[in-house]
Amino acid sequence: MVGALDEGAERVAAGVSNQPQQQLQMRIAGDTNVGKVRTTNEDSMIVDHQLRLYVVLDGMGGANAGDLASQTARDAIGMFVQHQRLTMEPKQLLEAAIQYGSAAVFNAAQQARERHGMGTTCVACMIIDAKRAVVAHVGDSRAYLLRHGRLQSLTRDHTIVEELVDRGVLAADEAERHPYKNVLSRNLGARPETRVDVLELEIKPGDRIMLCSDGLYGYASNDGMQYLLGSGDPPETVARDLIDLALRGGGGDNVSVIVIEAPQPAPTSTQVVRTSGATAWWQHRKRFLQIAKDRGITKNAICRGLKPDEALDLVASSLCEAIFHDLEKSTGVNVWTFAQNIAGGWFERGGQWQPLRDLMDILAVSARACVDDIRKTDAKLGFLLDVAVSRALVVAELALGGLLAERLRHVDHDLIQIHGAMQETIDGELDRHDTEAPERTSSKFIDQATIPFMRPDRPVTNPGVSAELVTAIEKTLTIARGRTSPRAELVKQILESLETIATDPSGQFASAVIAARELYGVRTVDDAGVTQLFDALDAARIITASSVHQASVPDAMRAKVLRAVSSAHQRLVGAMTGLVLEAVSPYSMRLEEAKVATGELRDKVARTERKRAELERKFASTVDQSLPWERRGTTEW
Amino acid sequence: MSDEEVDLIEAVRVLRDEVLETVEHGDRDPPGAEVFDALINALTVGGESVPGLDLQLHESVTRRLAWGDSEEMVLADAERVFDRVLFAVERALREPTDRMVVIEAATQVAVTVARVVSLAAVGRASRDRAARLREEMAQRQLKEVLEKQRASIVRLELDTTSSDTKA
Amino acid sequence: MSTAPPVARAYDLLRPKILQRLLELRSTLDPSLGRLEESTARAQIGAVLDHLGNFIATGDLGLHRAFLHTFMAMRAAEAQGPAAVLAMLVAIGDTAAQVSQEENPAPEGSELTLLLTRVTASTARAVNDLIAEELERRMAQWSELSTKERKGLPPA
Repeated sequence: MVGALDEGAERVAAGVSNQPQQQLQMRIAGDTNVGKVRTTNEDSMIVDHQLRLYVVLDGMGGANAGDLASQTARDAIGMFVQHQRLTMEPKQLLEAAIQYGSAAVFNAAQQARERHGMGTTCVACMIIDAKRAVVAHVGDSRAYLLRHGRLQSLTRDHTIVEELVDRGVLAADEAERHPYKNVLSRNLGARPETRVDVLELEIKPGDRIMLCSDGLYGYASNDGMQYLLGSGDPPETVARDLIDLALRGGGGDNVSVIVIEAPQPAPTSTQVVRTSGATAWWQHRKRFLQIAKDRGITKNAICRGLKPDEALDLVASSLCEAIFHDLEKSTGVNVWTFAQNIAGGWFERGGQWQPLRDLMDILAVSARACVDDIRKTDAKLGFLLDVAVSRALVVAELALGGLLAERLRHVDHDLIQIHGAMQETIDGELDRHDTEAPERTSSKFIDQATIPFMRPDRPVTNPGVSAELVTAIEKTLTIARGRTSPRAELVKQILESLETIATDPSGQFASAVIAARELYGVRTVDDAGVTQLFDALDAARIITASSVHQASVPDAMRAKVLRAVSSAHQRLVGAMTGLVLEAVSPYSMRLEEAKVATGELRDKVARTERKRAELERKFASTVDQSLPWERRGTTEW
Repeated sequence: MSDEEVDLIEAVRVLRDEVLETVEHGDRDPPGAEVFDALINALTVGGESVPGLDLQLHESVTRRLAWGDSEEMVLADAERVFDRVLFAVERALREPTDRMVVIEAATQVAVTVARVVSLAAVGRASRDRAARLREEMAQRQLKEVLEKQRASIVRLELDTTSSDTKA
Repeated sequence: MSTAPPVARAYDLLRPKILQRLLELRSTLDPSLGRLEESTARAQIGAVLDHLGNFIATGDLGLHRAFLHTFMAMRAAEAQGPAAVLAMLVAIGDTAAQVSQEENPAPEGSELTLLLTRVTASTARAVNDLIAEELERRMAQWSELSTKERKGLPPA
């Protein structure tokens, strides 16, 4: 569906050329890529300079419904803005346009069964003037703002998990690991209308706004995005580099990016660093290499096996070049990449932290020595470079920290797995030795109040089982057992249980619970154990249903048999699920207890920290301030 | 799809308000709606689509669990809908063969819901166990910190006392 | 590099502006900070800035590490990972340096701007050392548990 547009309006879906916004002096560019895994690009974009409307949409839905959804919404939104822009104020206009898009997608979805459930996310920015913009979104496509070199998210994802975090039900870190973290709570197309979050943004000189689909932030680190956006490169280069970053990170989804820049002349100091600073740094590279060599870089364990010249070239020279390029472009991406590569490679070889720390310290000291040299001849340039190089070293540490944290996550995961597996064995042992567990009694388990699914209030759906019905049920299940493979022992047991439950004259739930306990047995609480059970229950259901049709009984009786056995089946399944839920409940309780204990410890630490901070403040006031900073305490720089 | 099949689906569809007690719930989505809708889907598709699994039902149940509805609640709603469907078709459908078609589909849906709920519970248990271990690791870190804080306090008290003495 | 007493005082004078800027940007430091009430966020960020002021005055890395160790343990108990904590602390330091640069743009330099940059570098370095130590401890734990598992012993 393509709306009629005025001639001259430039509406493109991808790879927009850098069209300067003459009146607003803004530079804007967008790009999109199908990614490395998907075969279709279900993202769509609007980059319309005449309407000053910029939108990223990420479609979803099977069988190519996703790209239809995003394109339908794109066309509807563009058309609405085109036709209504003179009659509505911007915030209202953008919200109404997105609503219109949602209705369009919903209507399109009703037209064919395979389109049911199709939808799209949407993040949009409309520039009002040089100082104001409106940002609106539905779903998990995002808008970011880069200001003062810091990247901040302007939108919060409309996912169920985010909503739970907002309500305080989930912690942010749990949200990151949650299996439902990608389940949307809102999109365009699920219903005719949707809730749109809209905000009005004040634009400051130098700001960069980025709109993107989850294919970007799902595969590119926050720091990487920040560095690229913070570089002085034009928006079309930044958009392309951001996509490359996502592709290098896996590219598992379609990725679309729009970069909007409110330009500002770069501060003098930044220009100085990018030109004279970078040049001065490069002129001192031999000095850098010499200091690194004198400090023993070639003897570091990481350089073992390399000739001294090779070591200098691969390690020290690489950092020198990385710093140079970052100085030139006011970015940190080259130093970041250097640190990641060297540390990543070292860890993969089983390397320890200390050699890496020693190596980075040597490089840092060498860098500072060069900056000190430059400072002796040019104080102003030296100062600017000192700040810039210190910043570069921070970037390197951030990269290392990311890798260390990643390793810590893996070790934690392994620890949890192994601990869990060992604990399962112990729990299993306890289960098997019933007589040793003090809380277990010798009374029948149906008398125990703890079983959650003993619900006498459930209606009996087979009141009174006649002798004729019992016979028909027995006949049917005999046929079913006969058709079951001898190896499918569990299915046979289920069929026997169904017969018991279905022919139970009381029609109560108790027989289902008893049967469920016997079938459940001693089973680990994991996917494999549960899946095996439910596969068998499904197989029993299918065999029973077809056996009913084979039993030589009148049709009316056949329907009664099926009803009785299906009801029994449903009760058995319900009881089985009840047992699973019973088996998992201790885990939640133990977690709550652990959280309480952590909370108490945390409070204790916080109280002690307040006392320590007070003493530290007092101590600070006694320190001899005339000493150079490096000599006051136990600093190393 | 034959006319008879279409008529049967319609005959079941009109039972929605009765089975879900829609009037009682007013504007709110009645609990168990996902189960009834899955039943209609199962009848529409006919036979076994993906063995034992209806993706849309799976998503609806997952979504309810994600929103914080307990597994017990989801299961209880499914059981109630199943029971009410059986009662309703007994009354509304004359032909035994029609009743059998609906009962089979309803049982299939019931097993699917139970499977999804069970797997979700197992997943939750696994996450809870992992989260408990993380809490214990955090506790260990906090205990270490507490010891170091105490040592730091002792040092600072000494340093500030000696500074006071010199002054 | 010599430092005159006024650096610590300069920091104290600038602290309210730094805090204000951090509060405006707090959701970029960490999403959880964005969700807190402003008074709570102010207290948390304020504690970090207080300590930075002490570190600027004392130059004592031992005390700095002690603070960072406590800070990281507290954040870990709130389910915040070490990489996020590192990023937050670096962001605080960067912002402080930036505010200092804006307030003291003289090219010959603000000692404070440079010192804040170095403090940030020192912080990042110390945090990584702490993460590495914790990693070593956990790997030793895993190794111990693996041995117990092989021998069929209970975990604890």
